[in-house]
Amino acid sequence: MPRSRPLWRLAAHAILFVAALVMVVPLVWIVLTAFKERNEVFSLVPQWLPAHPTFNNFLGVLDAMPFWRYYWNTLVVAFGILAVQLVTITLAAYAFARMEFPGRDALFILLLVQLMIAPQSTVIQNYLTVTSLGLLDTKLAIMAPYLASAFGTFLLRQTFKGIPRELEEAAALDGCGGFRFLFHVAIPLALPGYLAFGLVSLTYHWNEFFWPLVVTETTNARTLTLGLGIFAQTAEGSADWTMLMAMTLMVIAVPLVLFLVFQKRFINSFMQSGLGG
Amino acid sequence: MRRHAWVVVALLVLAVAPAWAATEVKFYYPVHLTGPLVKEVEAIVADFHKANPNIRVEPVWGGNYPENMQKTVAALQAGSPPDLAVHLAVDLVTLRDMDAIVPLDEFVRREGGEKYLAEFFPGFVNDLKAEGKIWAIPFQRSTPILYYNKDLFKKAGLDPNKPPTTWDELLATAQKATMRNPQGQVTTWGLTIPDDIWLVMSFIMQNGGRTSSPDFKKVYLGEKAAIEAVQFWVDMANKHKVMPRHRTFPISVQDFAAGNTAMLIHSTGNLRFVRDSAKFEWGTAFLPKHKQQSVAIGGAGFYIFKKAPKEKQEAAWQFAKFACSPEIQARWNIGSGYIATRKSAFELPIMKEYAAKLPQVLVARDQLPYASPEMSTHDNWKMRNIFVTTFQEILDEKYTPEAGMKKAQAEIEKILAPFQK
Amino acid sequence: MPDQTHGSGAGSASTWEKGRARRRALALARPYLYILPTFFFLFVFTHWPILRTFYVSFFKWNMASPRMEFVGFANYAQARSAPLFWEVLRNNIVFAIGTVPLTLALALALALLINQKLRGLAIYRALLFYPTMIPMAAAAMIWLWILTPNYGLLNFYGKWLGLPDIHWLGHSKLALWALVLVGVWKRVGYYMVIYLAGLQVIPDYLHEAAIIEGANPWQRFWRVTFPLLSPTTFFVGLMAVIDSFQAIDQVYLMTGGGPGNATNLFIFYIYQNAFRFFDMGYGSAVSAILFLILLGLTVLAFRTLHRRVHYAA
Repeated sequence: MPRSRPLWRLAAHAILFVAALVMVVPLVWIVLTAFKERNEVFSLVPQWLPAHPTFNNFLGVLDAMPFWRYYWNTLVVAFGILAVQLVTITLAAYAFARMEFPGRDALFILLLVQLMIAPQSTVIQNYLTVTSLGLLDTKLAIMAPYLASAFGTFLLRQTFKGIPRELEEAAALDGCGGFRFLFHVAIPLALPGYLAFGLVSLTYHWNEFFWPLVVTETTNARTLTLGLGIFAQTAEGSADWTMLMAMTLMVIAVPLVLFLVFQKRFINSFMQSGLGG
Repeated sequence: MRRHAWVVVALLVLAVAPAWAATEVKFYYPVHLTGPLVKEVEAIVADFHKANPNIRVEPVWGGNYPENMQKTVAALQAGSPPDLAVHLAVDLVTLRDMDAIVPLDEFVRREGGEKYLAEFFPGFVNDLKAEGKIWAIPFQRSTPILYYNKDLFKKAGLDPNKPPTTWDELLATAQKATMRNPQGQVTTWGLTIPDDIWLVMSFIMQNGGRTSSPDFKKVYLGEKAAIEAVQFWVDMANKHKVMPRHRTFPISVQDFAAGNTAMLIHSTGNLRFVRDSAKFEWGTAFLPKHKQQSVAIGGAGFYIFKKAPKEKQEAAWQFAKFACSPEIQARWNIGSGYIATRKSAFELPIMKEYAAKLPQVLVARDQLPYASPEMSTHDNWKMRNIFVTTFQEILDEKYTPEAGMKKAQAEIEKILAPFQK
Repeated sequence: MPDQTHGSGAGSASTWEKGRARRRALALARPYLYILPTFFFLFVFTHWPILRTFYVSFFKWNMASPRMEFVGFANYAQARSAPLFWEVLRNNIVFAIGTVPLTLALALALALLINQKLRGLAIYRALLFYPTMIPMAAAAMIWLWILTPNYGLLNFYGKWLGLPDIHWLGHSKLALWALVLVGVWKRVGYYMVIYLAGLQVIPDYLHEAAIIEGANPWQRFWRVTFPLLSPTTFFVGLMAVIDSFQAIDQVYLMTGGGPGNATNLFIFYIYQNAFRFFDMGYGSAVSAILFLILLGLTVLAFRTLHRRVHYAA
């Protein structure tokens, strides 16, 4: 690491400060907007602080959409996806990491296709599949395309590869081979990898908009982020900025608060997601 | 032994329950969850239930018109379409191409056939007919009208009781009413028209032009009348600068109600919103004419779906008939601004009372004799998208009106080619 | 993979042999059983849709009627002759070119700075990273409000600086760049963190050796740091390009493809054609073209750029 001279340090601070400002000022602005009265924002002169701070916008959000239902749907979808993913990626990652079998490399490349072609691009066919299964407008439909995760398999494979052969052989001699090894030794050793993947997956699915938009028709299965986007498209939503900002805050509150508390964990998780060499 | 008795009773109840069960009608209506019309429609459904205890109508709020159409088509594709839905008159072609709807002739015949249909304004019924049959019953119909802010007129030195009646007057009025601050920025616009194809169509028609053929196979956007109409609009925005560009349908009404624009060309369907929000004196008038007085009829009607079993179709018809009765239509007109589709609705006391208090509500109806069907073709939504995006590009001066309209014409002809048989 | 053999010798020799054959079959099948759940879902929701999309692209189908009419390459011909298709392609290329280098350069610069021994590092890192945690839909709302003409934050300060009141999202030349801005704002923190990870694996002794040889910071960066970051740059760059061809949330929520079709990108175009115009055949054809583009980009990246990637010894 290069030695930092005072001038460098000042310049570095300045640049970082400006960058951080650009990132955080929008957030501050919408927090303030959320507490303003509806017509206060239509002034041609910038008002930072609300003249009469009010909670009305937040209450209005609860009226404008079935907030708690959306919340519950999102919880079920995000954790449901993760639960199934944990099973599928564990088995697949273990096989790719520690087993030899014909066609392994070709199958691995097939796996990587999912990294290249995002669900947005296969939306037409996935929509038709979901419909023909009678799952349109259900939480299961939102979850379905994600139950296998190439990303998770990849990440976990790296982790499993790191377990020394000697450990496995020693365990086999003790009668703990194969599946028992996976369950009792490999998985516990890979917990950091699971945590990393879990945080990335939860964040992604909490925040998803487009696929839920395509496969839901009513408020039955709708998720929070989707509810926000749909409200913004209504006549009311596109005019009532203070309520829209309040709604935005309510939607991002949970991920943001969790992030503030578990910063290091989240950042480390996302760091690992790039180490795909 | 007791437990068995309960089981027997339960089974008996279940066996006869179907006879008690009401017929359920799944009804897709184009409004968002929080739309202002939700309460009005819910009231109509509630009143219908009181009068018809053996039918239950379940409204599903489908969003705006394109979103509601998407929901219906999605449901059709999934094999579980609605029984009844409100869709635009121009969706008739699309729904027919999908073979999704049933003709209503049988139902109409029971009510008196042509005599029944004659109770509706002819313009509202004619565009719901095709191949000699009637495919929908008009529920919420509208025409574009001119809204104007009388207070802003007075401020600009204009006569608040003389709204413009021709294109020349429209431009002159807009120029006088546009207010600028010392830096030259506009503080009040003279006129606002949202980027809506339905309104562009009306301008074309006011210029003596035509938009599409009655057989849904051709469009006439490259004709001189159409180009001139678009030129006039574009000049008002770009040359004379009396109009903002790219205002959306909902935002433009908000602008008018907030007093930011002296005049607004918009649907009569937003009359109630203006009535409730405007804190100034306002009036309505016919759309200013040019070569002729002619506007496009907009709005939607009730369609009944083929896949619905006979009892549900019957129940759906009962609801549609109820919602299109004079009393309900009068109430609906007052609660929304859509024109009551039943002529006799205007003779009812509540309507007469309302019109006495708020004469603005009658303008749209009075304009009806000059109204014609909206532009409609096969592949309607794709056609409209080409038209509106090209129009926006013309407004942005990416193309001249002539080049742009001819481009749109060519592209639309390409998509209509498969339908030319 | 040696499987467990039970030590018991009970039973006749042939039973034991049958047992052994069965165990061997199980051992051979085991890896495939392990990957079965994953590949089942992958097949149904990734591979099969890709194949089926190509199939449907050869038909005309309006989504609601059961009739699918075979039309050969007509949908592809329609794409080729539709000015809008080429506009969408051009928009998406511009969007990618605008977003990716800018995001990566900023991310790398910020990562280098954060990698110094500075005070308040954790705060900076958190503030730069948090946009990754919020939905793109929320970012779209935030920026919609900031970019609003008249009352938006950007125009407030723009007017201070003497700029006119620009309707960013309604301006046919600027709207796409507004979307680029939102994309960069949202993703730069994530790429910064990935670069940070890449920076931290570069061994100190390499930097120290360069310093001893008299290299200045600029040379150190270009000769040591950047080459060793090339694996990161390669994969992150490829992911970013692929992502930018599949951007949708901000298009749907901020501009609806407009004004005109100035911000119409691939996924939005596909969505419009399939779900608004009910033209499943054409939508599938455009999807198929997108798959080929993504595949082509990936193959191209691996064939050409991958050669220039240095891996630390």
